[in-house]
Amino acid sequence: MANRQSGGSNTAGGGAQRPNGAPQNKICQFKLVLLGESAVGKSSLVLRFVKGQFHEYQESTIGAAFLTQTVMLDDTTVKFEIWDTAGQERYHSLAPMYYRGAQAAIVVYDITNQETFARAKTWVKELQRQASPNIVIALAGNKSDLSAKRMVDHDEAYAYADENGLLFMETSAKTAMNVTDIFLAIGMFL
Amino acid sequence: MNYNTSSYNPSSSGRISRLISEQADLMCKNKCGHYGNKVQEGYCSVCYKIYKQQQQQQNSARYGPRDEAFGPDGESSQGVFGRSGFATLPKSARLSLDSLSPLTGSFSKFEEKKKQQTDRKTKSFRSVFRKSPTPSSPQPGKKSPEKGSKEASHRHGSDGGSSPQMSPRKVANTDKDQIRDEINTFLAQIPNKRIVSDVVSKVKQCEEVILELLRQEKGSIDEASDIVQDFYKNFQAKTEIVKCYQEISMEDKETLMNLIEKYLTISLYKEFFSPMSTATEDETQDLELQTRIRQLNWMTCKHLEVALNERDRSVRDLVYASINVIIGMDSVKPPQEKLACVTQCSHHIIEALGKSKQGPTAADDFLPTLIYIVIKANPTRLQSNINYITRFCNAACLMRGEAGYFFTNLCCAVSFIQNMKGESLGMPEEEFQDYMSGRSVPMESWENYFLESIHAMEEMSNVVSELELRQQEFLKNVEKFKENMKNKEDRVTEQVDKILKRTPLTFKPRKVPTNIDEEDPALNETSLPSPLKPEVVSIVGASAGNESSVTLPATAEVEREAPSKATQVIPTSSQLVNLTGNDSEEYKEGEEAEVFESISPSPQSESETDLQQERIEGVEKLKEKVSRQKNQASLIDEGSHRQENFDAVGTSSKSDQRGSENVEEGLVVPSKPKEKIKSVDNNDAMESSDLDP
Repeated sequence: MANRQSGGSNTAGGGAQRPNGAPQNKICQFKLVLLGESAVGKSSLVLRFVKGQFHEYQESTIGAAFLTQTVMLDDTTVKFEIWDTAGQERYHSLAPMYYRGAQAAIVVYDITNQETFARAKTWVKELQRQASPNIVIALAGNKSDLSAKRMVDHDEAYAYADENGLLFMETSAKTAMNVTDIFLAIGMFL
Repeated sequence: MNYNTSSYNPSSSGRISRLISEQADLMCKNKCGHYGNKVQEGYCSVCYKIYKQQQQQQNSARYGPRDEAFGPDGESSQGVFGRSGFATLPKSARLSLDSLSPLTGSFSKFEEKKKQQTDRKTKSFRSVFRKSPTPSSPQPGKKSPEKGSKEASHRHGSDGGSSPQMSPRKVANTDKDQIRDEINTFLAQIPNKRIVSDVVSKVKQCEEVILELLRQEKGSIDEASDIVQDFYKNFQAKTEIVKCYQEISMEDKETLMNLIEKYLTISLYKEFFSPMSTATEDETQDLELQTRIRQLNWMTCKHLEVALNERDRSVRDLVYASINVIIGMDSVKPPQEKLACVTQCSHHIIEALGKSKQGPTAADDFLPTLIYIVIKANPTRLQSNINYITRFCNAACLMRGEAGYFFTNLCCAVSFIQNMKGESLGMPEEEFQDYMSGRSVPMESWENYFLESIHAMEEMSNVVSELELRQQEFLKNVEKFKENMKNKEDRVTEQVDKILKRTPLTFKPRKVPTNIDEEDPALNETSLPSPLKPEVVSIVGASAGNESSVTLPATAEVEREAPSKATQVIPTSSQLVNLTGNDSEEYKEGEEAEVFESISPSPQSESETDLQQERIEGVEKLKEKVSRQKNQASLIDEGSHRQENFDAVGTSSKSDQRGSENVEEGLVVPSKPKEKIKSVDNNDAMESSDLDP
């Protein structure tokens, strides 16, 4: 079925790549996919960026699966469409459906958990292999406010990101550190 | 046109015949479940009759006027936007439509044929999905004969009535009419007529190209999809570049694109949805998915780690709502509307999740829940719907936007369901296969099954306890009401008593006129004491004179005498009282003896005793006098009473009437209290009605 669907999308060709992204309008619309193990704070990160809020025990009414946010970059309006993905291992194989046609991806890991970093590396590899070649990949080490429990070294992650040509930032959805910055950096890059 | 050859055409009925067991040779050819007969060309008696009728109709259709063969639907495909919209179209547009109409007319027959094929196909599939699991006992055909069709269904080609076939056609027409009206009203708003004519011609062109393509045997649905997608893309680009399109706003452009998409998909729905060229593929996929989901019916929230709190009633309602919406996706035609169903279903799920747990609903929770919902809903022709949307929805819409996101999730869910293994649920493959084959059922599914009954039980017990409360309340009210009634009764009886006391119902004896001259038999003259006589001797003469006047009535005599006697006697008695030293006020008849007794025993001298003796005698006399006086007084009373009676007799006739009136009044009196009682009753009734729970 996945094949069929991709077949359908291929008929649209590159048109789907950057819809409405005509530069003369100064309005850019980007599809951004969030990848990462569950419980690394993907949705918290997005909610901080979109709604500017963080709650330890968040309100239940918010759907964080699909969100949009518009930011101004110089004189260009950038509209982010953020697609959340299920982080559980069993849904790993479904990820290509999500990042198909995406212009950007943020791979999130938890700096207090070495395993999530390992998973993030596999995500990056997969994206580089399967996603559209000009996709912008950002690596985000979340929960930087919990540096006391740090398990993933900042320099190690930085070196990895540098090696693979990724944007890298350590973020904290709780303190809002680098949250908007990483999105803006992606916007600039695009 | 020959019915027999078409019915065994392997290309048209290959799939169906695969489902039919070979045993069916003896059965009616129509598969109505009855046995056939060689004489009746292998049909049962009922089907043979219908078959004969049908043949006649086909013959008449073949040799009759050509137009008839096109059927009522032939007209609808003639103009792109139909006749209903012509009035609103400008001349230029009408011209283009008119010039194109002969072209499209030639397609109508083909279109109809296609539609019938699809109709039959979906029908046959539905009948397979119906509760009859074995293909040897299919439902009796309910479809009317299809005139002018090469591939009239041998399965459903029974039933002479034409209404079942007419109704779906009509629905299709109204759908088309609606979108036609919609697009016409929209186009009428656009001031630039060049745009209108351009849109009309382009859409027509696209429709023709697709029909032309599909008419060729080799034309596949993927090519049609390519054409449609290219058309969307090109048209989108055109609206952005071409000069005259700059006049309309962005929103209008979007609406126009949507309307065009809607129009194309609705008018070509039969060709696009689960089309003939790939029918086997799509339908096999549908069937496989259905079976797969049915095999997975043992899955519960726990297997997928779904965070739904199914004990909460509102959550359950939302779950059912989402299931309804996703099932309803099959019944709408345009891809946008199908997408809207997916989005709505997703919103219900997110809401349900929000009520079940803390924190925002992220994809980590959403996707498993969607998978769970799809498994529980098992939507009809899900795979065909997904394929249809992927092929003919504007691809740009599928790649972005909320609808695109949720549709991607649905595709993921379906993909997950298809590829699910024991490993993906965290259980040994063997166990998973056991569950899938139905060899064993996991405990959880029983729990889930019981959960349903437990929900029902909980609900029922809630209802019962509520009823109990109400019952108690009711009983309390009844008690209260009873008490009130009793109070009311007491009050009423009290009032009635009071009223009766005040106005007693007594019958006064009729007043009888008395004859005053008549001797009162009760009054015995001899037993009466003799009239009083003055004691003073000096006036004996006078008294004698008095006595001599016997002619006077006794009463008058007493009347005259009484005052004189009183004046004489009373002073003496007061003197006596003073002598005895007793309080004059205490002097009463009954006490007299006592008084004298107290006097008598006092020791006195002889002279004194003599004096006392004398006094006692005097007292005795006085006593006598007093008693006599009393008698007289009573006599006087009687006399006066008699006088009254006499007066009454004087006005006898009048008093009689009055007397009777009095009696009547006496009878009437109790009616008033009755009224009062009535009013009290009314009050009671009102109060009782208040109390009624």
